[in-house]
Amino acid sequence: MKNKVRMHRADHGVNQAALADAVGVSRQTISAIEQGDYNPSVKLALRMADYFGLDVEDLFQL
Amino acid sequence: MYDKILLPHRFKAIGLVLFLPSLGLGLLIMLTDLEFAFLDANVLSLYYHPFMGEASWFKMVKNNLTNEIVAVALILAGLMVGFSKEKQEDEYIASLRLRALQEALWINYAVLLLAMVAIYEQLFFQVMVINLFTPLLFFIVRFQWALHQMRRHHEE
Repeated sequence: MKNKVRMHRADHGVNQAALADAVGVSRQTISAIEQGDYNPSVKLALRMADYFGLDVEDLFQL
Repeated sequence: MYDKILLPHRFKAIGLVLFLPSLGLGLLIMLTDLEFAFLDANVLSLYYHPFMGEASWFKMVKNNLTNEIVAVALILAGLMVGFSKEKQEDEYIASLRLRALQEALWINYAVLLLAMVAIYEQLFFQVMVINLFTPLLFFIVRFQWALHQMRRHHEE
Protein backbone atom coordinates (compact mmCIF):
# COMPACT_ATOMS: atom_id res chain seq x y z
CA MET A 1 0.00 0.00 0.00
CA LYS A 2 1.30 3.46 -0.91
CA ASN A 3 0.58 6.59 1.03
CA LYS A 4 1.03 10.35 0.87
CA VAL A 5 1.27 10.92 4.61
CA ARG A 6 4.68 12.56 4.49
CA MET A 7 3.56 14.93 1.72
CA HIS A 8 0.35 15.99 3.49
CA ARG A 9 2.17 16.29 6.79
CA ALA A 10 4.67 18.65 5.17
CA ASP A 11 1.81 20.60 3.54
CA HIS A 12 0.17 21.05 6.92
CA GLY A 13 3.47 21.88 8.60
CA VAL A 14 3.18 19.26 11.32
CA ASN A 15 5.92 16.98 12.56
CA GLN A 16 5.56 13.24 13.15
CA ALA A 17 5.19 13.66 16.90
CA ALA A 18 2.29 16.11 16.55
CA LEU A 19 0.50 13.86 14.06
CA ALA A 20 1.16 10.84 16.29
CA ASP A 21 -0.35 12.64 19.29
CA ALA A 22 -3.37 13.73 17.29
CA VAL A 23 -4.21 10.22 16.07
CA GLY A 24 -3.18 8.36 19.24
CA VAL A 25 -0.13 6.37 18.17
CA SER A 26 3.62 6.62 18.72
CA ARG A 27 5.89 8.73 16.56
CA GLN A 28 7.67 5.56 15.41
CA THR A 29 4.36 4.25 14.07
CA ILE A 30 3.90 7.36 11.91
CA SER A 31 7.48 6.97 10.68
CA ALA A 32 6.89 3.28 9.88
CA ILE A 33 3.72 4.16 7.95
CA GLU A 34 5.47 6.88 5.97
CA GLN A 35 8.30 4.54 5.06
CA GLY A 36 5.90 1.79 4.03
CA ASP A 37 7.06 -0.56 6.79
CA TYR A 38 3.60 -0.75 8.33
CA ASN A 39 0.08 -0.58 6.89
CA PRO A 40 -2.28 1.03 9.40
CA SER A 41 -5.62 -0.41 10.43
CA VAL A 42 -8.74 1.02 8.78
CA LYS A 43 -9.50 2.88 12.00
CA LEU A 44 -6.10 4.57 12.10
CA ALA A 45 -6.15 5.31 8.36
CA LEU A 46 -9.56 7.00 8.79
CA ARG A 47 -8.30 8.98 11.77
CA MET A 48 -5.28 10.19 9.81
CA ALA A 49 -7.37 11.13 6.79
CA ASP A 50 -9.77 12.98 9.08
CA TYR A 51 -6.87 14.87 10.67
CA PHE A 52 -5.80 16.17 7.24
CA GLY A 53 -9.40 16.76 6.13
CA LEU A 54 -9.08 14.24 3.31
CA ASP A 55 -10.84 11.10 2.14
CA VAL A 56 -8.89 8.01 3.10
CA GLU A 57 -8.30 7.16 -0.59
CA ASP A 58 -6.49 10.46 -1.00
CA LEU A 59 -4.04 9.46 1.71
CA PHE A 60 -3.67 5.70 1.05
CA GLN A 61 -3.68 3.92 -2.29
CA LEU A 62 -3.17 0.32 -3.37
CA MET B 1 -8.52 -2.33 21.78
CA TYR B 2 -5.03 -3.82 21.42
CA ASP B 3 -4.04 -3.97 25.05
CA LYS B 4 -6.94 -5.54 26.91
CA ILE B 5 -5.04 -8.70 27.78
CA LEU B 6 -1.72 -7.02 28.52
CA LEU B 7 -0.31 -6.16 31.93
CA PRO B 8 0.43 -2.56 32.91
CA HIS B 9 3.82 -1.26 31.73
CA ARG B 10 5.38 -1.32 35.24
CA PHE B 11 5.28 -5.14 35.22
CA LYS B 12 7.92 -5.19 32.48
CA ALA B 13 10.61 -3.84 34.82
CA ILE B 14 9.55 -6.26 37.59
CA GLY B 15 9.64 -9.09 35.07
CA LEU B 16 13.12 -8.16 33.87
CA VAL B 17 14.47 -8.09 37.41
CA LEU B 18 13.04 -11.58 38.02
CA PHE B 19 13.73 -13.00 34.57
CA LEU B 20 17.53 -12.89 34.39
CA PRO B 21 18.25 -14.60 37.75
CA SER B 22 15.50 -17.16 37.09
CA LEU B 23 16.97 -17.95 33.68
CA GLY B 24 20.47 -18.25 35.17
CA LEU B 25 19.26 -20.53 37.95
CA GLY B 26 17.20 -22.56 35.47
CA LEU B 27 20.25 -23.20 33.31
CA LEU B 28 22.28 -24.09 36.41
CA ILE B 29 19.63 -26.59 37.52
CA MET B 30 19.61 -28.17 34.06
CA LEU B 31 23.37 -28.46 33.87
CA THR B 32 24.23 -29.38 37.46
CA ASP B 33 21.00 -30.74 39.04
CA LEU B 34 21.32 -27.97 41.62
CA GLU B 35 18.98 -28.38 44.60
CA PHE B 36 18.82 -26.27 47.75
CA ALA B 37 18.44 -28.61 50.73
CA PHE B 38 16.34 -26.08 52.68
CA LEU B 39 13.69 -26.42 49.99
CA ASP B 40 12.97 -30.08 50.83
CA ALA B 41 9.29 -30.30 51.72
CA ASN B 42 6.23 -32.50 51.89
CA VAL B 43 3.89 -31.37 49.14
CA LEU B 44 0.47 -32.39 47.94
CA SER B 45 0.58 -34.34 44.70
CA LEU B 46 -2.72 -34.42 42.82
CA TYR B 47 -1.80 -37.72 41.19
CA TYR B 48 1.22 -39.71 42.26
CA HIS B 49 2.55 -42.70 40.35
CA PRO B 50 5.97 -43.87 41.55
CA PHE B 51 8.19 -45.97 39.29
CA MET B 52 7.74 -48.96 41.58
CA GLY B 53 4.41 -48.86 43.36
CA GLU B 54 0.78 -48.04 43.08
CA ALA B 55 -0.69 -44.84 41.77
CA SER B 56 -2.82 -42.73 44.06
CA TRP B 57 -4.70 -39.43 44.12
CA PHE B 58 -4.05 -36.55 46.54
CA LYS B 59 -0.97 -37.94 48.23
CA MET B 60 1.59 -36.07 50.31
CA VAL B 61 5.04 -36.70 48.82
CA LYS B 62 8.57 -35.60 49.66
CA ASN B 63 10.01 -33.26 47.07
CA ASN B 64 12.72 -30.66 46.66
CA LEU B 65 11.06 -27.45 45.46
CA THR B 66 14.11 -25.81 43.84
CA ASN B 67 13.19 -26.56 40.24
CA GLU B 68 9.48 -25.85 40.76
CA ILE B 69 10.15 -22.42 42.27
CA VAL B 70 12.66 -21.48 39.57
CA ALA B 71 10.35 -22.70 36.77
CA VAL B 72 7.38 -20.78 38.17
CA ALA B 73 9.52 -17.65 38.59
CA LEU B 74 10.87 -18.00 35.05
CA ILE B 75 7.40 -18.38 33.54
CA LEU B 76 5.86 -15.51 35.54
CA ALA B 77 8.83 -13.25 34.80
CA GLY B 78 8.74 -14.18 31.11
CA LEU B 79 5.01 -13.43 30.93
CA MET B 80 5.59 -10.06 32.60
CA VAL B 81 8.40 -9.15 30.19
CA GLY B 82 6.61 -10.36 27.08
CA PHE B 83 3.06 -9.33 27.85
CA SER B 84 3.34 -5.97 29.54
CA LYS B 85 2.27 -2.87 27.65
CA GLU B 86 5.01 -0.76 26.15
CA LYS B 87 5.19 2.87 27.26
CA GLN B 88 3.12 3.89 24.27
CA GLU B 89 1.28 0.77 23.23
CA ASP B 90 -0.33 1.06 19.81
CA GLU B 91 -1.35 -1.07 16.84
CA TYR B 92 2.14 -1.15 15.28
CA ILE B 93 3.61 -2.57 18.48
CA ALA B 94 0.71 -5.01 18.65
CA SER B 95 1.60 -6.20 15.13
CA LEU B 96 5.26 -6.65 16.12
CA ARG B 97 4.17 -8.61 19.20
CA LEU B 98 1.92 -10.87 17.15
CA ARG B 99 4.64 -11.53 14.59
CA ALA B 100 7.17 -12.37 17.30
CA LEU B 101 4.65 -14.75 18.86
CA GLN B 102 4.06 -16.50 15.52
CA GLU B 103 7.78 -16.90 14.91
CA ALA B 104 8.31 -18.26 18.42
CA LEU B 105 5.63 -20.88 17.82
CA TRP B 106 7.20 -21.89 14.50
CA ILE B 107 10.57 -22.30 16.21
CA ASN B 108 9.02 -24.27 19.04
CA TYR B 109 7.42 -26.77 16.68
CA ALA B 110 10.56 -26.95 14.51
CA VAL B 111 12.54 -27.95 17.60
CA LEU B 112 9.82 -30.46 18.52
CA LEU B 113 9.82 -32.04 15.05
CA LEU B 114 13.60 -32.22 15.00
CA ALA B 115 13.64 -33.80 18.45
CA MET B 116 11.01 -36.36 17.43
CA VAL B 117 12.95 -37.62 14.43
CA ALA B 118 16.54 -37.16 15.58
CA ILE B 119 16.77 -37.35 19.38
CA TYR B 120 15.91 -40.41 21.44
CA GLU B 121 15.44 -41.74 24.96
CA GLN B 122 16.50 -39.63 27.95
CA LEU B 123 17.80 -36.72 25.88
CA PHE B 124 14.44 -36.49 24.10
CA PHE B 125 12.70 -35.83 27.40
CA GLN B 126 15.31 -33.23 28.32
CA VAL B 127 14.67 -31.46 25.01
CA MET B 128 10.93 -31.64 25.71
CA VAL B 129 11.42 -29.98 29.09
CA ILE B 130 13.52 -27.22 27.51
CA ASN B 131 10.91 -26.87 24.79
CA LEU B 132 8.30 -26.01 27.43
CA PHE B 133 10.10 -22.69 27.81
CA THR B 134 11.24 -21.99 24.26
CA PRO B 135 8.04 -20.31 22.99
CA LEU B 136 8.24 -17.71 25.76
CA LEU B 137 12.03 -17.29 25.49
CA PHE B 138 12.09 -16.96 21.69
CA PHE B 139 9.09 -14.66 21.81
CA ILE B 140 10.75 -12.33 24.31
CA VAL B 141 14.05 -12.22 22.41
CA ARG B 142 12.35 -11.72 19.03
CA PHE B 143 9.90 -9.09 20.30
CA GLN B 144 12.55 -7.09 22.17
CA TRP B 145 14.78 -7.23 19.08
CA ALA B 146 11.88 -5.99 16.90
CA LEU B 147 11.23 -3.12 19.33
CA HIS B 148 14.93 -2.23 19.31
CA GLN B 149 15.03 -2.27 15.51
CA MET B 150 11.84 -0.19 15.30
CA ARG B 151 13.23 2.47 17.64
CA ARG B 152 16.58 2.57 15.83
CA HIS B 153 15.12 2.58 12.33
CA HIS B 154 12.37 5.11 12.93
CA GLU B 155 14.30 7.76 14.82
CA GLU B 156 13.69 11.10 13.14
